[in-house]
Amino acid sequence: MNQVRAELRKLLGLPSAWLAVLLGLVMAPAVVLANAPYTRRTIADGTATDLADLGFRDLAFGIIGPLVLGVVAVSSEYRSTGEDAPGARQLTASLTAMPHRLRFLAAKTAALTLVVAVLAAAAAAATIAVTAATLGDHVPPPGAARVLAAVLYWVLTALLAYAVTLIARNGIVPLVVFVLNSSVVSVSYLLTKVTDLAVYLPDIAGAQMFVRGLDVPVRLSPLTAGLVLAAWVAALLSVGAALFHRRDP
Amino acid sequence: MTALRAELIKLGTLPALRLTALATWAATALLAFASGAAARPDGPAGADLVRTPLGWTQAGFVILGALASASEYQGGQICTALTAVPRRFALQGAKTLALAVAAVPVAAVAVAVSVAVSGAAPADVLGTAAAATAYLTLTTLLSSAAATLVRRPVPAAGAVLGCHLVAGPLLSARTAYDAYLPDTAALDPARGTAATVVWTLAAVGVAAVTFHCRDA
Repeated sequence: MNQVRAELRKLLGLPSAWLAVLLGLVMAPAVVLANAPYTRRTIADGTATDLADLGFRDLAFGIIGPLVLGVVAVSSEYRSTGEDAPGARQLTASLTAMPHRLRFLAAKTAALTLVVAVLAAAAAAATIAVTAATLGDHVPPPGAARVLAAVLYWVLTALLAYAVTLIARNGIVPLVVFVLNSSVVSVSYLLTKVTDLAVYLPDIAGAQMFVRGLDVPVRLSPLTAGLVLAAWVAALLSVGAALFHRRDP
Repeated sequence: MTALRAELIKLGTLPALRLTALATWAATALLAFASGAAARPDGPAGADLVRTPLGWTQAGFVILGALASASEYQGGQICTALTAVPRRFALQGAKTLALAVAAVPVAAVAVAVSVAVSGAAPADVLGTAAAATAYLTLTTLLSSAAATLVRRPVPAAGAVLGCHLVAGPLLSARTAYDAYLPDTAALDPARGTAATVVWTLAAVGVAAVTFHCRDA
């Protein structure tokens, strides 16, 4: 418990973590707002595909917040602490305080999960509220299961970025890969045009946990999608944990 | 001149930059192949097909710029550099010029890879290739200016990538500001080149002034 609290304070002491929280909170509602006139037009002329997807589809843009949180939670441990001591890392101090590596990792994972879950719930609430305020009674009330699935998607994606950073021990590679892939036309989406297998990539599968009308060759049920994403996270996290356990800090 | 050569040697001996360049070329080849395979017969052809993979792999150039500038601030190397070249504008100028000189061949190879894999006739896409090379070089300089300002590679690369790959496309899809955004030229050089040049010059200028006024 003490360890989780320590990890929480370390994570929330990072300026970049707060930037990530801000991005995660603001991004999706802002996209809903910016899209509102266009969405209203499509509803009016009947070309809107799935009204229940409104808001949820935009929630995927806020994912950059949990991604950055997942990356900085680990990369901050590996960054050199000062210009004058490039070899010194926070990880050395952390492991002195918590020598049991897997327990340390478990505390870190718990802290990250907690922060992202709260952030996701707040972002989902904000996005739903903005959607309801701008589009009014066109949008059916969101189902609790879908909101829960969206929160779960955010948490699992953060853990995915966290696991990859744990393997890479460096923030730049995972940050670039994930930001690139959360861009408007993602690389995974391009791959779904090449091979059907690409629907099992974490972000395409994950989005199907709470978005129905995705243009993909093979539809996964929300439960299958969730299991696919969870399997990715479990696999990468075990590799990351095993490496972290065995490697020199 | 000596400062320029020194800066070039520094850039040439950073393993991270070599790795980034290699990874960028490899990613360009893969993405060019994937977007070629995904394109429908009636879809984009020629110049568009050359530009599409570079829209993603410009990320490699953002990292190149960020790493090149921020490496000076790890372990206090900047103090040594300033001892050797005390005039700050001269040093910053040499750095920027050296990075441009180093970035042009990296960009040219990436563009050539994209042309070769996409199967477009090189003669038809000469203009596109030249514009893309210039764009990627300018993006490297923009990102290096951002990294000079914040002195750390990850936040700089994150911010520039967020602007170029998330915020930029979102804004240009929904608003009419795309001619003023620095990333429009990646896919639509006719509309965005002026904006890219102005943004880059402004960023390089701000970085130089900041470097001049700030404690090292």
